[in-house]
Amino acid sequence: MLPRARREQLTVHELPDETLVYDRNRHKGHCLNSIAALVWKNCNGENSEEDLTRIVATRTGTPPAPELVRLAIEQLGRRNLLEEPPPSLPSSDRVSRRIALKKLALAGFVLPLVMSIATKTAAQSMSGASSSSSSSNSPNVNVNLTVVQDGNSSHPAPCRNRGQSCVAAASGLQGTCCSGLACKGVSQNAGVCG
Amino acid sequence: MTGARDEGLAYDARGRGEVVARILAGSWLRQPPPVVLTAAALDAVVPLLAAGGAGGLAWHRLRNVLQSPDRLQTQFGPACRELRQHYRQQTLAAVDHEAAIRDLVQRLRAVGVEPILIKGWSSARLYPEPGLRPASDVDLCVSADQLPAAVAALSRPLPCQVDLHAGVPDLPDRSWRSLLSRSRLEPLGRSDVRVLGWEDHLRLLCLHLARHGMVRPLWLCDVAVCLGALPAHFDWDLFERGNARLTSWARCVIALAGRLPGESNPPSTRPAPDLPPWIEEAVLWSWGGGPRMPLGHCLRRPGQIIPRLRFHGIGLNRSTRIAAAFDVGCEPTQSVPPGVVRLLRFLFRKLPRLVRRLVFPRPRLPFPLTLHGS
Repeated sequence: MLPRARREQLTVHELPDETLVYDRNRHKGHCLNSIAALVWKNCNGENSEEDLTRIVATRTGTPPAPELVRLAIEQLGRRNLLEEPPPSLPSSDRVSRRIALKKLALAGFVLPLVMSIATKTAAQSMSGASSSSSSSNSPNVNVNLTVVQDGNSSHPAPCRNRGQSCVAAASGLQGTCCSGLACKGVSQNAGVCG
Repeated sequence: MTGARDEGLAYDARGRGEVVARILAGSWLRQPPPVVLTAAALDAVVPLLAAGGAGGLAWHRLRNVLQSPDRLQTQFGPACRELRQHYRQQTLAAVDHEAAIRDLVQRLRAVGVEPILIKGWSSARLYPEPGLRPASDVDLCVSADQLPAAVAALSRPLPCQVDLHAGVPDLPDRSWRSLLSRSRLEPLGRSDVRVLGWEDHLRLLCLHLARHGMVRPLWLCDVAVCLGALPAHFDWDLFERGNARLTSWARCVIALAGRLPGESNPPSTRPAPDLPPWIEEAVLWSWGGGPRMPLGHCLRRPGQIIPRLRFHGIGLNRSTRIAAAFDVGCEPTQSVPPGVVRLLRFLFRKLPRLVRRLVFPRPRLPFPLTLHGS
């Protein structure tokens, strides 16, 4: 297969040892370790799994390990960071891969890791308490992850809940909202999610 | 500090406050200084750091101290993983937050309103990384006569919570015209945003912190970061100009910034003012006691009423003593009994405000827009 990384509706921030990705469609944050990020960056629809294996081996200075790349692609696909999800392995292949990965881990290879980060949607944050003063000792951070209105597109902010104002209509883009609701009753550039 | 003493301190509110101060000292620097800490002390204060928005700073301080994050996590386990998650969340939020600010400013400029951005990003931009300071709501200030136009421009779905102010809060001794004339344009992506001049920005941070009882360590870090970033032409006379009582509170905050999370602070060009001992004690107690739960929050959770009364009753809520003293017009050096201060504050500030809100309720807007000073 020739995996291709998804680029639309993603906010990407690179740190020295990991890459953070926020999926604006699904309002989920992900953290890719260095191996997963390397695979993802090189998923351009032209590199096969063998090519990716070679790239990872060259960049990390380790022997080629196709199981690592396969695992990375699977994790990326599961989190909708690829345009097309990879085909799932038959169960017999999964067992042998698990054993191979265990051997690699014991040999000191860094396994690719795509970890989801708990986040709050913009709607949940706006409908909650004010964020200017915390009112709880809970360790959960009230992160108001907002919709990016970048200069290249006018993607609508996500719809909120049923009955609330439809941002898609207000932004000039009507149709099905990202959460599966539709803008109804559009008037004066405002609609209602239904 | 020995490990045994550290363990004991970690379970006392003042001790926890000390640990918080120790972790945050110099945490905003690109290369923070080393810190001595036990895992138990860190575990005790992680919820406080997280609730106060300082999780990212704490991770930055601890991450850079040790050679490898893996070793850090081996020693300090779940606490560090949690701090690291806060840092990641804050980093992602910061990127979106900047885009939201650009959008809001563009909307206002489209209707001829020039806003000044205060707090939030205007402080966060001084930190070395975007994830160190959490991005929350956006505070925009406009002149009072432009407020209706600003409300109209923002009265459609907003990308985040917006606090719209008529004039600049916490700077009652400065006119809008003078603030605007000293304001600066700072680049933000492909556009720019207007922020306060350095003197006004620092004064605002200090007075905002004092008004809220210095309850949030992150805000004191903002002051320390600002002090470290002051340009050579910073005018201390301008900073101190205005209401003498407010100036004394501002100088008090600067003294505190140098004493608490400010061991690595470069000295200002003025001699540090004396810090009243009761303020430093009150701050440490309040940082270690955790954030104060607002009354409205308790009313929605009846099970929290008794713990809140206990919290007030046994004097752990010392930050309100600072806030009350500020509110009723005391100088920071005045040692008025806290009960008297709180009673005065209730009678002359909170009660009139409550009555005013009941008689003249604020209009409820359909979007996350809060009006101040309208």
